[in-house]
Order: sequence, then structure tokens, then C-alpha cells
Amino acid sequence: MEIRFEHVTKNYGEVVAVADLNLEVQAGELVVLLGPTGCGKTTILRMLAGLEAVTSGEIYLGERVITHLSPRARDFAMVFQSYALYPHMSVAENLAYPLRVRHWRQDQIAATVKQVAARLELTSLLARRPRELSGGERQRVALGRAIIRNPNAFLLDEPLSNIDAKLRLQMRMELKHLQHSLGVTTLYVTHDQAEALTLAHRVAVLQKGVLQQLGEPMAIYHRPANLFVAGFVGSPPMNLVEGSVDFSAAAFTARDLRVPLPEALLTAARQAARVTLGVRPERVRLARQAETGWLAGRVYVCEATGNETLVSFRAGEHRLSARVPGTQRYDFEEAVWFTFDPAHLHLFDAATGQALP
Amino acid sequence: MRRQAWVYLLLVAALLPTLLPIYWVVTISLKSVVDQFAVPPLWFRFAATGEHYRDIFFVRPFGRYLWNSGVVAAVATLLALVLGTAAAYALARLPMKRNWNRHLSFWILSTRMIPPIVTILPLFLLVRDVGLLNTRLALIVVYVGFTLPFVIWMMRGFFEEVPPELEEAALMDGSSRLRALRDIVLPLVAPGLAATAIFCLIIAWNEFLFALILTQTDTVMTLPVGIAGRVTQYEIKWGAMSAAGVLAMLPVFLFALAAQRYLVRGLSLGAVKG
Repeated sequence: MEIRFEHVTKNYGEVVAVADLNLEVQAGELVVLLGPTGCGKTTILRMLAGLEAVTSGEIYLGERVITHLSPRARDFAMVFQSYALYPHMSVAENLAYPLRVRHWRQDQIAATVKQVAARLELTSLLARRPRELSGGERQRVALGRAIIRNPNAFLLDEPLSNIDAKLRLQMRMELKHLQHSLGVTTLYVTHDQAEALTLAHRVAVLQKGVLQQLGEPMAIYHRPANLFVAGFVGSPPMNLVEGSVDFSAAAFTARDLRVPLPEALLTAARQAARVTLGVRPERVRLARQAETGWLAGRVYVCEATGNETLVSFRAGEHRLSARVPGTQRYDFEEAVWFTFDPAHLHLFDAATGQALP
Repeated sequence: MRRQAWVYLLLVAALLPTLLPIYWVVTISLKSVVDQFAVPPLWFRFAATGEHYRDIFFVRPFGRYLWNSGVVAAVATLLALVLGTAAAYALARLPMKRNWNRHLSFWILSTRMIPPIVTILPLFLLVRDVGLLNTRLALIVVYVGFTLPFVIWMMRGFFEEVPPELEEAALMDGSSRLRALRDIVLPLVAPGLAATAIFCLIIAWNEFLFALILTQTDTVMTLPVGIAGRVTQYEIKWGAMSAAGVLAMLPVFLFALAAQRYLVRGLSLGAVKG
């Protein structure tokens, strides 16, 4: 079922948690709400769930207005960050609970629980209590409780944030596969941009209750709509340098930095007085020898991760980072030369933060 | 080994003040009147007699008192639990502006800050005017009033320890609020409920002052008043009083024993806050 937010606002007294949200989630789509703590992403999910009242605006499920319905009438399944497993019930009872509430027949419940348990590899754990399970097992039970019925949508609130890194990657894949095979509309909340980019059909980036950009993961990554998205998505984040455009020289200039700009960006830059230049670390070229037009820098720290090396270096007063092949290594304070890939430069209006053009 | 001996010695020393009176009451209830006053006391060796038990059941209507106490304590406890738990749940869960649930809770507790004896005269007049003197109902109402603030405070603490997400999960799974309360919250606070119940039961079972003032006839009199009634104009019937005392202690003992597991968990549940 498709879900639509129309002009949805949530205020807590004076504080605006979510401001005029318009968002449409297509049937079967997985949309990730991405943003830092306090950006309103969980509030949006809880409003959709019916656990939090909407201050103004409407939420639609298909063509039906569900803004003021009880959680039960909306029929969504939710996975909580803390999993919220019922501690006094066994795994089997936890899984069966949504069916019990719906007055399923006992033998049907047993059969369905068995089926879901098999799917999530929980069969040997059915008699255990939640406190006897590991983090990953609890996570699977919480997922199982959600998929045991056919809800109108899945609502996942940071479902992977409480398990360790190795397991997280595995569960991420499982989740993606599961969502694909079930084809259920899913809203997924996270602050982890890697999770967002890898899982989502579309990502909604939020800051301070305002939707910043909605788009496919690669669009978010390659064409960030504003400075916030540019800085938030990507690890390490995009290099951002504030300066101005020297139209006579067809270049971006900041203190200690001078970067030639391609024609398209020059045209776009005419709209703004001050601009911010953005370039992703993998679009920074780094070398020990200078070539014409390259700029000088000094290595601050060099981090090898195996297949790639992250180099943080100083160019005058600016701190920049570069992502280079894992074969390259640099020393502290080593003199380096760098340039930006002209085809992958981003310009933002420094005053409004909006991308140019 | 030596160390263990010390521990036991310490335990005995600590338990002596609580256990000795109980031992004393039990033995007195089984001693003949002559043996009761023997000097030095007959600690272990005396001829046991059941005459005092016979006395309280056949000469005085102690069965009746026992029944009255049971009814009053049970009904009062049940009512206080039902009303108090509902109130506590609301106070723990309903969002209120400007901390009003805190203020409300404190106001409820403040009703227990005056010594009960201060309220006895107005209460007597009230009960008399509504025609409830010498009824068990009067005692029940008064005891519910007494224990309700405690129930609300204890249960609010227990409720607050249940993570709200558990209830929200139940709502998402399709429960109504009431069903979530029944299926999820109440089972989780069951130890707390047991601890609170015992607390109420003991208060209502042992209450003496209000029972003395509000009931004077044998038909509705409760045990504590009945026991005190054995202090007569001419003699103090120690044997009968002790026998009645033993019988009064028994139900509370048995109940606490049965609920011991919950009691310990319940009391510590409330104490440890994250």
C-alpha cells in the first residue's frame, strides 16, 4: 500500500519537530528516512504508526486518510530500536502474539510461527525467553514478529543500531533481501548513511524537521541538493570550501586555493555572491610530484584501510580529505600536490546552502 | 567454618528480637494459666493445653472475628488494588502538562502525612451520619482510603519501570490499549502487584484503632479489637489473647510464604531505578 504525507507538521509546544512534510512512498518501495539525531525522522515514523499525534496535515494510506486512526486500525508492523520483545513470553509466544490478538485459530498460529521461525533460523530458539538470546537473535525475533502477518507496511526504527558491526552488515543484506522478496512497503529510519544508501529505493534526508532531499541513493550521493546533504552523506564527507568565483579568470577562489571551473558551473555561479565548492574525497587526485595547475598541501594524517587509503591534508587554512588507492601511503607532514576532478565539482550558494544550478 | 559460625551467630542475634515474641505468644497460648506465670519461665517443658483455643472459639465468637477480619481485609485490599492500579497506570503513562502527574501523585501521598488519629473524630461523625456505624462496609471504605495512596505510589513506580515501547509494540501488533495492559504490562508488574497486595493486606488485617471506634458489636468486630476485648474488668486473659494472636498471625504468614518469591522480586523491582 502506498503512503502519503501531506503537509504534516508536528510541534512539541514551541519546538517544531517536523515541518510541513510532503512525502510519498510507493507500494512496495523501501524509503529510508536519514538524518542526525533530533532531525524528526523517528517522529515521522511514530506519527505514521499512530503512536504520536499529528499537529496538522494528513497522512494517507492508499486513498484512505489515517491521520487519526488507532495503530491497530492502520495495521502496520513495527520493529523498534530496542526490539521491544515481550520479556515474559517465549520466542514462539512473541512471534504468535500478533496472530493471537487477531484471533487466529491455534493450529494456524502454530503452523505460521513454525514457518516464520524456519525462514529466520529461529526454530531452535522457539522455547527461549528474550533475555536468553543474543542481540542478533533478538533482532531476528523482532523482525519475525513483524513479518508474521501481512501488514500494510513495515516501519523500522533503527533496527540495526544495537547489534555489532559485523552482524550489522549481514543483517543489512538479509533485510534488503527480505523486503524485496516480501514486496511490502517499508519506511526505515536510520542515522547511518551507509545503511541508507545500500538499502533504500529512495532516501529522504532530514534536518531539523525539514525534508532536505528525496531521491534515489545515487542521486543523493552524486547530486546533493544542498550543503547539509552534501556534508551528511558520504564517508568521509564531501570537502567543502567557502569562497567566491572570479569570473574573469573562470575560477573558484578562496584563501590559499584557486580552482578552475567548467563552463556550466560558471554560469550557475552567477546567481550567488558567495559560493561553497564541494568535491568528494574520491574526486581529489593526490601525488608526490606536481603537475601544472596542481596545488600544494601537507599531509595531516594518513589512514590505510586495505583497499583504499584516506588522506587528510592541509592546504593553507583548509583541511581536505582524499580517498586514494590502498597502495599509496603518505607520512605525517609530507608535502603533497593535489587537484580536483573538474567533472565532479559541486557548487552551492553559500548564503542559502542550495546547490547551483 | 569458623566464619560461617559467626554468620549464623549474627543471624540469630538479629532474629531474636523478632522471633522471641512470636515464640512467647505461641507458648503462652498453649500453657495453662498457672504455667503462664511460672518464675523462672517455663521455656520448653510444660503441659500443653488447648483450653484457650477452646475458649476463644466456643466461649467468645472468635470464628466470627476471624471471618470479619478476612472479609474486611480481602475486600479492602482488592478494591484498593483495582482503584490504585488504574490510577497509578494513568499517572505513570498519561502525558500531562507541566509535570502535573508528579504534583498529583504528591498530593495523593500527602493525605498520609497527617497522623491517622487526627482524622478519627471527623471520620466517626461521617460514618455515623451515613448510618454505617457497626458495619464492615465502613471499615472497608476507611481501609481503602488508607491504603490507596500507598498502592498508587508503589504501582506507579512499577509501571514506570516497564518500557513504554513494550506497550507500543503491543499496540502495533494489533492490541487495544486495554489488551496491551492485560497481556503485557500486568504480567510484568505482577511481582509488584503481589508485594503491594501483601502490604495492603497486612495494614487492613492488623488495623486496630479505627476498627475499635467504628465497630462495637460482636457481629462485625475484627480480630484485633476482639483480642483487645480479652482485657476484661477483672482479669487479663493472656491465654485467650495469645491463642487469638497466633490465629491472627497465621494467615499473614501463609500468604507471605506463598508470595515470598514475588515479594522479594517486587520490593527490589521498585528499588532499583535505572
